[in-house]
Amino acid sequence: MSVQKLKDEAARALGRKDVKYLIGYKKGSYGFRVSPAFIEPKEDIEQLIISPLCNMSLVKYVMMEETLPGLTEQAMKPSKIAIVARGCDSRAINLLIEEKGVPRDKLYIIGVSCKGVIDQRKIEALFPQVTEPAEVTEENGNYIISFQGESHTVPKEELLAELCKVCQYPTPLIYDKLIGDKLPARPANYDDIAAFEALPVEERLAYWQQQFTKCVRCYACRNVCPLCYSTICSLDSLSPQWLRRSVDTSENFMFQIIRTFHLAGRCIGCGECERVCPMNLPLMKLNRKLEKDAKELFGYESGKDPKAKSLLTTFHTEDPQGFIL
Amino acid sequence: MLRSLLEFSGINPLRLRMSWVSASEGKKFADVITEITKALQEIGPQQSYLREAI
Amino acid sequence: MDVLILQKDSIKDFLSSLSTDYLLWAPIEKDGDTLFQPLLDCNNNSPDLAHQAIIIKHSIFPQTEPLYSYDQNDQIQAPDAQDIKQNILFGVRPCDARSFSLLDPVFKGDVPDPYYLARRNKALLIGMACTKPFANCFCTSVGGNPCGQEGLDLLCTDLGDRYLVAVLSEKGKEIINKTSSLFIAAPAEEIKQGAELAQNAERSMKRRIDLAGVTDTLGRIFENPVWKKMALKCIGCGICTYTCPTCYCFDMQDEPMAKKRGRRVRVWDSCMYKEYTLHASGHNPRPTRVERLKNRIYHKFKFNVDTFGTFGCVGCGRCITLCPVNEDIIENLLAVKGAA
Repeated sequence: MSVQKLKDEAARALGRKDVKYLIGYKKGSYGFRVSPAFIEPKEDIEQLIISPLCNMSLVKYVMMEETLPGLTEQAMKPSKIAIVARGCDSRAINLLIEEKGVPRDKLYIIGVSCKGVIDQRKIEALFPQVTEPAEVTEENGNYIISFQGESHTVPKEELLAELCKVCQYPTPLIYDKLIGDKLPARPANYDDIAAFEALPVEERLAYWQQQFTKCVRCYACRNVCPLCYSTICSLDSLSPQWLRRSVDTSENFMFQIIRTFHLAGRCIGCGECERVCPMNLPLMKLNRKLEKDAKELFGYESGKDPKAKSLLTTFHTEDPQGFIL
Repeated sequence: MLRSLLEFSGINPLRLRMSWVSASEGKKFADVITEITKALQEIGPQQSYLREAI
Repeated sequence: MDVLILQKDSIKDFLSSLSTDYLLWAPIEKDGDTLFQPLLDCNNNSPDLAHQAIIIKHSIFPQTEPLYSYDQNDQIQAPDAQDIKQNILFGVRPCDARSFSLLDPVFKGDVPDPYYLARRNKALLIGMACTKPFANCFCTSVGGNPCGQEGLDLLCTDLGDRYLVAVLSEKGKEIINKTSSLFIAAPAEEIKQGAELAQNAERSMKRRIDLAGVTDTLGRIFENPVWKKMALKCIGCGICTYTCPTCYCFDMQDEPMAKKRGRRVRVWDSCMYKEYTLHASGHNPRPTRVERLKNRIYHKFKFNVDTFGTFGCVGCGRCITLCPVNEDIIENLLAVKGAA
């Protein structure tokens, strides 16, 4: 997939009269980091990159536009945001459109087919303390990693993010323009979740109690989630107060379970929550459990189609009701 | 799905129950409560994720 | 100043013998992460001294601190300072040790904070010099040093199979006296070796920024458009403030419990949250991420200087490493300098 093709399309997008700015990726400030880039028309397109290091989702920023209180003419003009979107990103966008979080015509989507991204922790463990800017390309099932004039070849499997291994839709499902080949959809794989479900309840409890004790309630998971966009989050509410501010296993459990449940039938599996967690909590285990349930109980996959009805707001007579007394 | 999630996290799913009972269905209400109470008595008090006692 | 040698094999004995009288904190590896936690079993757990612990300030400034509790008879009970055990913070990096010295004036101000001081006054800091600074360390740019002694009672420098131990205070001396059988005086060549390692460490620090004049610049560029561009990628999550050793903002909440009992707790808060400055009227003087990010930088590089005379940053680099969207304070400060 050609970076130049992406830059060309980005330049075209920014040349449109109705595009305010473009959200893409650029080199990060050190080592293997990548940063979001907000490029306005007439700004340098050359800073745009796309590589296996682009392991963050940009969809969050679509919902984060802030204007100071008070209407201005600028805020009233309908203007598009151009955004670089991978497969998982496109599912988030579909869901946002379906939930009426963002109108379709507000976005100019530059879809990029994605063969998976690198897990930051894995590459920093393999090459610790790298400050100099690094580059990574993918070739024949390997990653070619270059920094400080050195080049290293590492098998893709060693650095690929775990979630990418079970990615179902490598090609975006919604776009205005597609860069890269259309890659086929892949079957769902919830073996890891099934394996955890098979563990005895005492083990599961011990596992989660340990994890929830580590949580420091920084709220990064919630803030980074493209689908958490309420103006007032129920977990922040003080009247009524659903969650105490104390940080202990009990409150953390409530926080994580409520957050997961607010994503029931919605989570599209981008894995941002788990990526950003400073304490390395396995948050996707919880989210994927509900993804699996949505599939098995209701035959539903979120974010496939912006016109599909959302899972928990629709009722069918065939819906499982065995749990009702 | 919430039951399933709670079970996944190590909480007995029998602790979350749901039923549709109208204000005029007195007998059904009594039956449901009796059944739930009995089930809970059998599994005992919740031991996981407890708040710190003062 | 005494300089001694402690063999690496003796660390277990050193920590074990102190564990009866002191609560020991150390960086401990758990599932691939390094957490600063009480070291409970010295014989089976060893400190992880190769990595930077994610958060360390909770050892003196806990994330959730009960201030007092009340019972059904309206009796109020506050924790007793006597109940706080003497604690030893082991394996503290010089930047983190310095951070406590920056927190002290905040908590010792006009109304001294008894909760912070109870732990602080009973804390003894045993440092581990950074002979190999981490990728995002920039302590030398903010008045620190990778092998600095500020705020420490003992400073250990890794010489391979043994540590050079500098005794920096009376408290430190007491610890040595209690475990004197494990120490010998350091020969001159080893002291020299330690000094060379310290010099190399300073030279090897990769990230640097000249902050001369930045406080003045900040005084002039409050309305500058540079802040908008800077704040666009911030997601307002609070990771930077929670992992920052010099951030101290907190909130107080009342928690009623069952049976007419309850308590008031102090919990960490973050200026990066929208609710931080949300007024009861609904007005918010820092309504967007631009104002909040701007405030963070101002607090650390101007307001702290105006109030206490030093930068409110020790250059530990955690905010850079752990920020999920690559907000980089060094890049941001460069932008500030560029806007002068």
